[in-house]
This record gives sequence, C-alpha cells and structure tokens, in this order.
Amino acid sequence: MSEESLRAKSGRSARRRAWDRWMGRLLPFSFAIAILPILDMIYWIGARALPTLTWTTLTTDPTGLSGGLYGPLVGTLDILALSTAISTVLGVAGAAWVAEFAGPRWADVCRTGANLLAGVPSIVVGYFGYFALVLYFGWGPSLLSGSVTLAIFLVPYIFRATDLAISGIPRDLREAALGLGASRGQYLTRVGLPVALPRILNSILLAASIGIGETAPLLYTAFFNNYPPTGLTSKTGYLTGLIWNYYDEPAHFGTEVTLAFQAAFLLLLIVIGLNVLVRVVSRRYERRLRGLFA
Amino acid sequence: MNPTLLEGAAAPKSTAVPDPVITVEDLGVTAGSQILLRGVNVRVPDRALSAVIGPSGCGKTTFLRCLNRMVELTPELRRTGSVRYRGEDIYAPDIDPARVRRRIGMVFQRSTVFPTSIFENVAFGLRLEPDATMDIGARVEASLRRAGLWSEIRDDLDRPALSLSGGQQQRLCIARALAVEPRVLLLDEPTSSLDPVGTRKVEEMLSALRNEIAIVLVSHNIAQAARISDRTLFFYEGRLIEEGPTPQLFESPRERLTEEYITGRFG
Amino acid sequence: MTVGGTPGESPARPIDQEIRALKGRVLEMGAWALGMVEDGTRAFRTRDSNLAEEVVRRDVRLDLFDVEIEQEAVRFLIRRQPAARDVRLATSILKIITYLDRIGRYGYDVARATDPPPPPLEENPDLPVMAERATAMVRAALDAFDAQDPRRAARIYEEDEPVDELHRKILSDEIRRMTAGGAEVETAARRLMVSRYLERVADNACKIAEKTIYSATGHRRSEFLHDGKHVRL
Repeated sequence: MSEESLRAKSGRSARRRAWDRWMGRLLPFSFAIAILPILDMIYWIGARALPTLTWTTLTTDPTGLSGGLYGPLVGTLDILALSTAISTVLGVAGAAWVAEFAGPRWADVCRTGANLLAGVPSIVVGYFGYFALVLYFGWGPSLLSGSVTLAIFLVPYIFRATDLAISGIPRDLREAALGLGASRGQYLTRVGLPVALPRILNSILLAASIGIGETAPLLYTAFFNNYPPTGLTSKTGYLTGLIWNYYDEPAHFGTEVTLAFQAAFLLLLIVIGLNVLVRVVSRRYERRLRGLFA
Repeated sequence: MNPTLLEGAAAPKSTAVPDPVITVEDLGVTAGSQILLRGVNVRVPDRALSAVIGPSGCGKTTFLRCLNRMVELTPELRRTGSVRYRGEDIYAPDIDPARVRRRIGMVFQRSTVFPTSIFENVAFGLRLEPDATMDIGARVEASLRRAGLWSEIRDDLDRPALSLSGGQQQRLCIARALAVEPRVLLLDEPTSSLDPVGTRKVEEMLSALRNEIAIVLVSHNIAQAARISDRTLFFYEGRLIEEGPTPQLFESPRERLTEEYITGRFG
Repeated sequence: MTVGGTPGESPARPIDQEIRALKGRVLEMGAWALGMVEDGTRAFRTRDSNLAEEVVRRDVRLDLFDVEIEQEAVRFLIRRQPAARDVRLATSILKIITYLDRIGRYGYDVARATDPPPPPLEENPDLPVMAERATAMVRAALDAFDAQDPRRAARIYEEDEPVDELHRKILSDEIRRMTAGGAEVETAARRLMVSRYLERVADNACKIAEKTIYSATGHRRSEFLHDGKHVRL
C-alpha cells in the first residue's frame, strides 16, 4: 500500500470526494427543476380555481357555459369506478392465470398481446370502442360504453404489474406452498395474490390516475352531457370533457374558464386522494411482508 | 488365512432394507441433453434417517425432488424410472401430486415462512383440506412441540413468523411440514444457513423424529451425515455410487470414490 | 472436472502430510523399543552390567514416546475428524503405541534380569536365535505398518509358531538344568524369564500386524483368524 496518510488532500482520493460533493449538489438541483413545474401548475390552477369554488358549484349542473360541475363530477367518478373495476378484474384474473396456469405458449401470446395493447394510442382505443360498442353492439354512447372502452385501455397496466408481481415471488415460497399439498389455485389465493397485493394495488392506482385523465377513449363512446348519468346506458359528462369544451371558449364569459380550472383542480384532488389511499393500504401490507424478499 | 479378505475393504454384512417406505427403480432425469441422474435404485427404510451426500452437482437435490414430484415444477426436466410409495407409483396419471406431497413432505434450504403469523404458517397445510372435526389449535401445538419450538414461542403465536430468528424460522418450516403428518420428510440442506446452535437444535429434533417417520436428508456436511443418519447414500455425477449403514460406510466404505470423498481428497 | 471435485491421487494434501508425520513418529518409537530389546538381550548374554543399566534408563524416553504420539494422534482426530482409512489408521496408531511400549518394556525387563550378573554358564544357543526371530518380527511388523500392506502383515503370523516352539524348547532345557541343581539354577531361572519376555515380544509384533491389517482393509481379527493356528486369539 502507498505511504500517503489517510488525510491526503490531493490526488485521486481527493478528486473523488470533490466529485461526490458536486454531484450531491447537482442532483437535488435537477430534482427541483423537475418538480417545480408541477408545483407551479398546482399553484396556477389552485389560484384560479379556489377563489370562486363553492359548494353550490359542486352541486349544480353546468348550463352550457356557466353553472356548476355536478354532472361531470359524478360522471367522472362513475366512469372511474366502473372502468377501474372492470380493468382490475380482467387484468388481475388474466395475469394470475398467465403467471400460474398457462402453458408457455399461451403465456407468451397473452403477454405479447398485453404489450401490444399498451402501445395503442388512446384515441385508437376510443375509435374501436365507438365502432364495436356504440355501433355494433348497439350500446350507444353511454356510461357503459365509455367505461368499458376506458377499461380496455387500462387493462395492460394492471395485467403487466400483476403478472410481474406474481411471477416475481421467490420460487422457494411457491414451492413451499405446493410442497405442503396446495393446489395451484390454493397457492394463488392463499399466498400468491396476498404477497403480490401491494404491487397490484399500486398498479390499480396508476391505472386509475391515468384513466381519470384520458379523454380520447371517452369522447366517442360517451360523448358529452351536462347531467349526471341516470343509468348505464345514459350519456354522461366527465370533468376532462368539460375542460376540453370550456377552455377554448373566448374569454368573454369568464365563468366557463373558471369552471374549467375548477374541474382541473378537482381532478388533481381526486388523484392525490387516490394516492394517499393506496399508500395507506399498501403500508399495512408492506409491514407484514418485510423480510420475505430478503 | 483367506487371501480374498486382504483385498479392499470389509465385506458388507447384510445391508438390505427389509421394508422400505419408498422404492426407487432405475430413476433417471435429463435436462435436454444433460444427464442429471441415471440408473438410481434405492430402498428408503421406514423409521430411519437416510442421508444423501455427494459433491456439488452430483444430483442429490434432483434425486430428492423426485421423491415427492417436486421435480415436475421444473418443466425442462424429463424423468424416467419409477418411484413407489408403499408400493404405489406416485407418478401414475390418476394420482394428484398435492396428495403425494401431503404424504411426503419437504423442507427447503432457506427458510420459506409465509408472511403471516406463526400460527397461520403451521395451520396452512391443515386449512387446505378443511375438516370440521379437526382441532387446528391442537394440531398446531403438537407440530410445534415435535419441532422443538413450542417452548420458545408459546407465549405469542400471532406474532409475524418473519420476526423469528433464522434458526427458529427453519424449525417453523419443519413444524409446518409436520402439521399435515407426513409419513416421509425430505430435507434439502436444512441447516446450511444456520449457526451452530440452530443446527444443533434441528439435528436434535430430527434425531428424535426418526423413530416415528422416515427422513431423507441431503447434506453438504459429511460430519452431519455421520452424526445423525442411520443410512448414507453417496452420489457422484448423477449415479448412486454406494449406500449402506452409516457407521459401516464411514469406517470402511466399499468404493474407492466414496472413500476419496469422505476423507476430503476430492478436487 | 466436476464442480465438486475429482477423485484421484493427491499426495500433497495437508492431511496426507500429517499422516506421514504420524507414521514417522510411530517408526521412531518402534526403533527405540527395538533397540531396547536387542541391546537388553545382548547385555544379558554377554553379562554386561553397564549396557544393561543404560537400557534401563531408556525406559523414560519410551514412556515419553507413548504419551507424545497419543497426543498427536488425538489432535489429528480433533482437527481432521477423519473417516474411513484415516480414522482406522489413527485409532490403530493409538493401540500400536501401546504394543510398542510393551515391547520396549520387555527389553527393559531383559536388561533388569542381567543385574546382578548370574554365574556364567554354557550358552543356550536357542536364546540368541529366538531373540533374532522376535526382533525380526517386530521390524517386519513396522515395515508392513509403514507401507500399510496387509499381505506383509499377514506373513508375520506365520513366524509366531516357530518362536513359540523355541520358547517351549528353552523352557524344557532350562528346567532340566534347574533340576540338576547348584548355582546353575539362578542362571537357568533368569533364562526362563528372558525367554518368556522374548516370546511376548513376538506376540506383540503379531498384534501390531493385526492392527495394520485392520487399518489397511477394515477387517477385524475375528474375520481373518479362523484357521485354529492361533488358539490364543
């Protein structure tokens, strides 16, 4: 070993430490740059939305160019719930089957299919929904058509995450369960899915967050409506649709622009709410799984 | 003086297994063009501990996994030959592998506790085939006692299993396997990740257990095999080279390969 | 070469060096004990008190050998936890040093029988022959042990009967001499004792051979001595 003291101020060791210091300063700076626009956006929207946001706004339907947000709000929530539910069931069940039961060829086919679907632009999915559900099946533009179309768009996210989560369970654990005499179905329900749950929940959250913001699949399958949906077959409004409609209006009628901001703000709130919710639920499961993947 | 006695090692006294619980005939396993096991013929005695030893890659783990159909979980492996449990071919097409594995249980090298409570871990196997007449609590306690773990954890069975030490987790896995009351227990290097104290406790437990069921133990640790087993099987490059009563095999092995291995003159 | 290792010749292993060292120590002790027997017998025949005394003093070193080699063997067992031929060798060594200790002690006893020197008498020619044969047996046993050769060890058994016969002959000769009476009784009595000691030396050589056969092959005495020639066993 060289004779230099541990405290060498020059030479390779010193250069390395200087480099570390600079990177330590640079990286948070980049992070700040990345997050600033988001913060700014929240502020920008909030500043224009909050001053005139009242309970009335939330409980009255829009009236063309002014009014409230009630209908679209309900519509968004309904679509969110329905499409998330459908895509979760399809995604999780399908992925569970692929991860555990399917033969290698079928598994390949399904996984490739999911990957392809993930790459399809949302507007194309919307077109497909229009022709298949609205026209061919005859469901017409409705809550159901919109939700199913959106669900189709969301399935790949949930499918891939669930597939990875279940396949990623340590082989030992699966063999231990099977070695005790569990059938593959019993393994899934008692070990596989419970262990994969945090990741699955996260993927559902991700899907929901994406779903909230996707307008294209809905435009042709649910059209737009000012009123809350009366049933699965009724037309419905949704917040993103409202923003799309209202934001372009000339600024003569200031109210619609404000409404648009308020709709945007509501959307943000919903997304943040979802995040918090899943975080809380995940944390409980994370604690129990600690040490499993060690 | 009988000159033939001067050749090689002591002639074996009768070492046949009279009433084997598992009979393996001409077992072979291949992975593509690679041969993992060939021509293995074994009779596993009941109520005894049989140790399987051999250098890395000799096929001893593959052999073990053939005994309870775990080898099927690796799709690239092809198996020939037969394995009979009490005369019945365990690979017969009308036999459910899950049932085989309840009769012939397995414990793995690293602890594989489920992320639930201690109680739920041990009860896992019992809950697979619900039986209203079964007192699960009593069975769980009995298994924990057999595994020598009861006194250490009796105060709180609802604690997460992952909060136990490595040695305790391993013994929990054994208790879990014992809960379904298998007739044979297969263990794949169960103490290789444990400290000496944990190892000793597992070995003590196995020594007591061997009077009740048949145990097959794969071990890298020759001294462990010599310590606790009744019979020893030595594998090398996919073949069963020698097997016999442990004291005899370790004092005067018949095959030169066996002697080279157990005296540490390999590689 | 497989992952776990290949079998084959490996003379450079540490354990083989330890084994060679242990065997060497046994041979050292064997040489010492043999020396005590040969010199003790010579002292007796030539009525050399000084030599006899010197042989007697060698007993201290003999005992030390016994203790030292036992300790070295035990350490080997602890360190290596050997199996198969290694453990057979180590446990055989533990018994062989006991036999060598006895052999040396008999040499010591013969030397003691020299002092004070008995009245001179005509030589009994059988005694030196017997001494020669007995020490040859010990030497052969140690050779067989060093080579771990069971055949050589087996041949030693064939030498034992002639030595026994010699002993019986000396017995009858000296008893006849004793019945003649006179100062010769003392000498004859001493010769009887020496003959007995030499016969025991030969027996212990056989025991060393027996252990060598066990160590090399794993067979124990009961399995290969069945032909009735060695009733004692």
